[in-house]
Amino acid sequence: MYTIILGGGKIGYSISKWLLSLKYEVTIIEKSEYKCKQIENDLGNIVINGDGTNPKLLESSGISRATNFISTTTNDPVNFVACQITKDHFNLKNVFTTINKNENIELFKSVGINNFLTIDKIIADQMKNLLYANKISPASTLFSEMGNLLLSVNITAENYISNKKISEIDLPNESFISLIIPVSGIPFIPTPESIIEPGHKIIFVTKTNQEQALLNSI
Amino acid sequence: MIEEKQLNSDNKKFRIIILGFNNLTTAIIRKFIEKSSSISIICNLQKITESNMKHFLKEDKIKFNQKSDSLITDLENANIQDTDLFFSVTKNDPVNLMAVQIVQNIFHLSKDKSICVLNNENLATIYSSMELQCINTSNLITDQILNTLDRQ
Repeated sequence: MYTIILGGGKIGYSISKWLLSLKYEVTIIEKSEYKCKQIENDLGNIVINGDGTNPKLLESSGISRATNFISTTTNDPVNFVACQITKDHFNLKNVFTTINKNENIELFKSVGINNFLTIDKIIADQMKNLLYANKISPASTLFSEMGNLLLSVNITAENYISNKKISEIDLPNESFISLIIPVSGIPFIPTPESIIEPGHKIIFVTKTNQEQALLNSI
Repeated sequence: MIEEKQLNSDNKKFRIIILGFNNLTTAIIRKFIEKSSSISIICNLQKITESNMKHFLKEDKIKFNQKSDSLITDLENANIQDTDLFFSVTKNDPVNLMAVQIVQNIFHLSKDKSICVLNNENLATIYSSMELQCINTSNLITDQILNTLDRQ
């Protein structure tokens, strides 16, 4: 999986660090030479210095073989143009972006850029987590603090575990299936006799360092 | 059904909005001043010298609007809903591209009446193929030279 990230600020840097920890290939495009040097010192030779709305630069970053493009700059016009040309000119489907001003959401949607997060929502979610820190913690936060990971996977006929009984499935150490959500939407806790079917959504529990091994095994 | 804005048919004069103030803005004003009923310029007023503005302030039909950090608000304040022609001519390509698509997709001005200038010729080629009206000076000059050579 190859991911190109536009913007080497806090968001772009954190996503890159996470993807690199999972052994994925990452390139960051960053306009500031100073930031490029900082990232290179921390994460290695994964940065291209330049303007991410320049089609030639996107081409040279390997956009034609990329799996994901994530735009994380604080400049909405830059995010907008970079995502639009990546999606419509370079025909990449997995395009994600941050939107800094809520008023721009309608424009992004109008050209089919639907995978976005607004900075307001990110901050609001974080605030909620802080407020509930001593009372109720979202399960995902609690899990990650203990080195665990909740993974949701949509099963298709191409999955190795499709049409198999739970008892026949061999998952990596400390990984198991916690919940099955069938097409009806009513979840159930699996038994060894439960059969995984295409269309099922499976909630796996695994260790953060076992994510790739788990994905390979299914 | 999206209603396209029609030209002001009473006096056949255009209502124009220009985003950005530079040599292109003055050229557009000179070209359209006779044919227009109003020209609104959205720009950073602090960056315009008084001598530059003085010439245009004599014209009643020219209005200057201070640019803020919200393109949508700036366009609303300049009455984009009642505009016949929109030009985005700032030095910033992403801003021009976003502005022209806000005008088309949010305020429903037709594609042939909203035009932007792009400095990057590759961007201009890509967006032209996406049926956006964009002008790139390098491409224009090259076309002009080719036309001249063709005629000889």
